[in-house]
Amino acid sequence: MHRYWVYLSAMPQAFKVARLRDIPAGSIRPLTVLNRDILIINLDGVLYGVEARCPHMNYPLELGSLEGRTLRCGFHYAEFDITTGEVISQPMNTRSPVRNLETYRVRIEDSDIVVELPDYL
Amino acid sequence: MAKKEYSKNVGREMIEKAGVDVDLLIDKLKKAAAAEFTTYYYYTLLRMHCTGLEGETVKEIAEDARLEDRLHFEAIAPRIYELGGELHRDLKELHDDAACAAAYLPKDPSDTKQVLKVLLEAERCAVRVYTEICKMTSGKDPRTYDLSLAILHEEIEHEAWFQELLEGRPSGHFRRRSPGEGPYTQKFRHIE
Repeated sequence: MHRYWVYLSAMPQAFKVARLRDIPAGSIRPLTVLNRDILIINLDGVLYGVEARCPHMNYPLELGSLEGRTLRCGFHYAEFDITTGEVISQPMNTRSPVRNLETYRVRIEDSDIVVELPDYL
Repeated sequence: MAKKEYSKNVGREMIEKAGVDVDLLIDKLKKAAAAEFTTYYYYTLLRMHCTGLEGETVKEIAEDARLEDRLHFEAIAPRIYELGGELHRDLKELHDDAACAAAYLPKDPSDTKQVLKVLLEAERCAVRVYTEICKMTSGKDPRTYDLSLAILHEEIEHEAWFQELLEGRPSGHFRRRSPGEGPYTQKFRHIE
């Protein structure tokens, strides 16, 4: 029974979160899936998913700006690569470095956007 | 020292019942207050370096924004205590916890355009800060919402002013009746 639970917990969970037309190219949309805040970004027709809050001070990243693959937090200007979640530039006002953003697989099924969450039980 | 126990505070209870995470809200307000306080300090520096013919055109507007940011700090501080929080006890801690990046002098402080860019980015951050607090409190905490909205009105004006000075985008700017008048936050003011 325990092994069965572990097996299930390793399965990614997929969720339809929006219609493709709701997140047109160049737009950023925050969503909550299973209490997890996720940012879906449509970069020239390719969709990316990252955690929606900056790991520095937990401010919403959708209020920042996107230039190419670089997502810039609008509060202390930390910069992240949306394709990998990696920190490009550390925020100001910090004495300890911030971690990378968590990323999520995003795919299109028919006209729906589907996000895969790793199970986190 | 043991923390003193108080009876319930209905003002806080109503907000909690409406679904606001009050401790999180206090944290947001503390960060906002810290940003206003540090911005007031950094704007003092920036203002000092608005020199010459070009700088003189910026100075008066930078002064209005500087004084109004101090008033915002004064307006937010009591709300933090009403909700059961308190201000940072250490100024260094306050600086590092501010909601916005420090508005440092640019490398060449004689370059008025660079000074304006710092001022503009600081105001943009403030607009984001109060937009977030307004969203968090809308329909749930009328007092914090009213206060945050009043501050947001002024931060939006500041952004528009600096954008006009930097880029020529018309802002609809009218002079304040007195320096740092704070027309929207007046009703929350405890000092002049």
